[in-house]
Amino acid sequence: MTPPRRLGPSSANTRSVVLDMVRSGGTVTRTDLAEASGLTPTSITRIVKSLLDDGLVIETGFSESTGGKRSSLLELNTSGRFAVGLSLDAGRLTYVVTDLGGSVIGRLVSPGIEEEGPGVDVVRIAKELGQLLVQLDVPLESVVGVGVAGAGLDLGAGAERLSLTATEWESFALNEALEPRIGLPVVRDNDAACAALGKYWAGRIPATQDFATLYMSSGFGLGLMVGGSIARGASSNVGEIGHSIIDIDGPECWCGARGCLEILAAPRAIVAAALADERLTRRLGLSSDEHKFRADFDAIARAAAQGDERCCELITDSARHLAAAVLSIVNLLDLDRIVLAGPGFAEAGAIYAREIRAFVGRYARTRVIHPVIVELADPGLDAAALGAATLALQSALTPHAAPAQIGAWESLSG
Amino acid sequence: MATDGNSIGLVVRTGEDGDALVDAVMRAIAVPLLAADLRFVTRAVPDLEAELRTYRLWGRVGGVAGVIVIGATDGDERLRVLTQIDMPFAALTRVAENVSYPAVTIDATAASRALVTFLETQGARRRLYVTSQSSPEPFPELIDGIDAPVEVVVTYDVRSESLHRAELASKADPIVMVLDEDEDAVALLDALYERGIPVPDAVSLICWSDSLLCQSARLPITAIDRHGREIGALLGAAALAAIHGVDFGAVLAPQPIVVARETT
Repeated sequence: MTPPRRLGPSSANTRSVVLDMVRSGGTVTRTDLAEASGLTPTSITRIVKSLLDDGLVIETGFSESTGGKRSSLLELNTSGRFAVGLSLDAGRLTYVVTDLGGSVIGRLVSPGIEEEGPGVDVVRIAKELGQLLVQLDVPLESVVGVGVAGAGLDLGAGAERLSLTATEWESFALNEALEPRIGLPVVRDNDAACAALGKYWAGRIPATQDFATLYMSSGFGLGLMVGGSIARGASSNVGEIGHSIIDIDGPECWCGARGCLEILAAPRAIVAAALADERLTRRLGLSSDEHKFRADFDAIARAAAQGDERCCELITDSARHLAAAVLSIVNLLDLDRIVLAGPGFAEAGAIYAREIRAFVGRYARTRVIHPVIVELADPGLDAAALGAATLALQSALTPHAAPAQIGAWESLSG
Repeated sequence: MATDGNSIGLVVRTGEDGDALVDAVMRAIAVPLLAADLRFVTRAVPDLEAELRTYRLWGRVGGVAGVIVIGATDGDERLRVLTQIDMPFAALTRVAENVSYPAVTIDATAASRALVTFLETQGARRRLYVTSQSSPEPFPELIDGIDAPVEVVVTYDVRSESLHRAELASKADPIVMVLDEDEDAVALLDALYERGIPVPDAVSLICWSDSLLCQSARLPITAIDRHGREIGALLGAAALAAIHGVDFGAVLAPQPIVVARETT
């Protein structure tokens, strides 16, 4: 049995923790909450009243009698608030709107950020977001915030450095540009971390289970969930697995090092290898247009999934490099679950999963102690957007578990 | 009337949006729409009433140029409402429906026929169970011709029931099991592995809908590819035809095939 989580009654995060207990518990009573939190019944009654007043929790009936007065059953009021998640990607923008329970009520897919600059894209995003909420009949005031998932480094102070595929976004302060246009708080994290958080929240994975999400879009990222929270590091930039050095004498990477995973195995590298083969280029109708490399990669991955021998070789080579990087992570952190997510796995994810599973199963130091589960997130294309919505929900509902950079948000208690 | 919108809309019933085929279709629809510089908006709703309310809302607030209707039938209330609000539409329908709009049609018997044909090519004549939350039409009629004892099990607890029957059967003759959902098939495969029941020697496993989960399972699972990607691409093209008033007719979706993998 899980021991009660002792909380100080004056803790600023007490309400947040109690609300999270209601969320993860499904249906609970005040007595359950008192036992789980270690708070007095009086404190719980006061906190639950404030949650009921704010429409975050509802009473759904009564527990069975055990001889005394029957207890009220409490649940999260899932339709009381909504959150938006946005995945910024070169190929497409994906917006997801969820209710408080994390269930998706609507989506929007629109063209990616590949061609326009951030100044133009932010205006478009604000317009699309407003239109989406109208089309889903979701009042703006019921939205707790917008989570944004994107590749690249967090530079702090609202600025970020997105991946090499969108250099114009370097140092662009997305939060500051978007918030005034949409009238909602914006929180951003990298796509891998968002995908991990989405898996944790929607998949109801217990906080005691640590796992990593490996995200492939134009490059690679790793989101690490430890104790129910995203591991953040010194500057909120944990997970730059794309720049793990796989071959010290390998080709020079744009980051300055040699033989990085990204330069050897990311979609751009696979497309470059395919384009060197004229016959394959013709057969697949590859465009060789720099702005369309993701479409070219999808064509190669699709052909590999359908058994095309040359494409299988290319994807398998990429998967073997990725497997080597994953093995290092598994050995370093003693993980027993790796989730593969992101649009890069949408076509040939099975090949990647198979190679990584085989490699880790064969060489992980802990293989005699426990297996390592390697699974594909489904659907891969929405994982980051769903996680970004979760980030917004978590920031508003359970700021005790949210990263420091968004802890400054005011909770719904105001 | 909202033909000046920049989006194509689709309403999906809650519960169906987790179905592997529906997910594949919805993912693929976006591709031709994005290529035409359009957006793709989807809304999950619990029932028909909510679906109709959504269409009326879209007609009122604008932004949606046309919609894609899933599972349209003759006399469908949804098509009547869409016509009433002057909203262009395309639809996914069964072959038998009387279609006068851009449509992609599915032969409802094709997946069952593909499965029966596949089973007949299997050398061993094994007992076949189908565990499903609802009996997959018209499978029961088609399996009459199979030269093997067959049982269709309808249960709400697919995982427990299928595992129980697999354990019983593994002590006697080998069996083939067909499961509707990819997640159930993967869960059964894992459970059989943990109990030391060999797949496919004791239990062959087939999933009704192919997906990445089937393909990436511990043993890649034999599954019926119902061509969700191709259907989605066709539906996207049908929607474009609908909003531009271009003749599209009714296009038959590609026939499902059984993709044999390591569980059979």
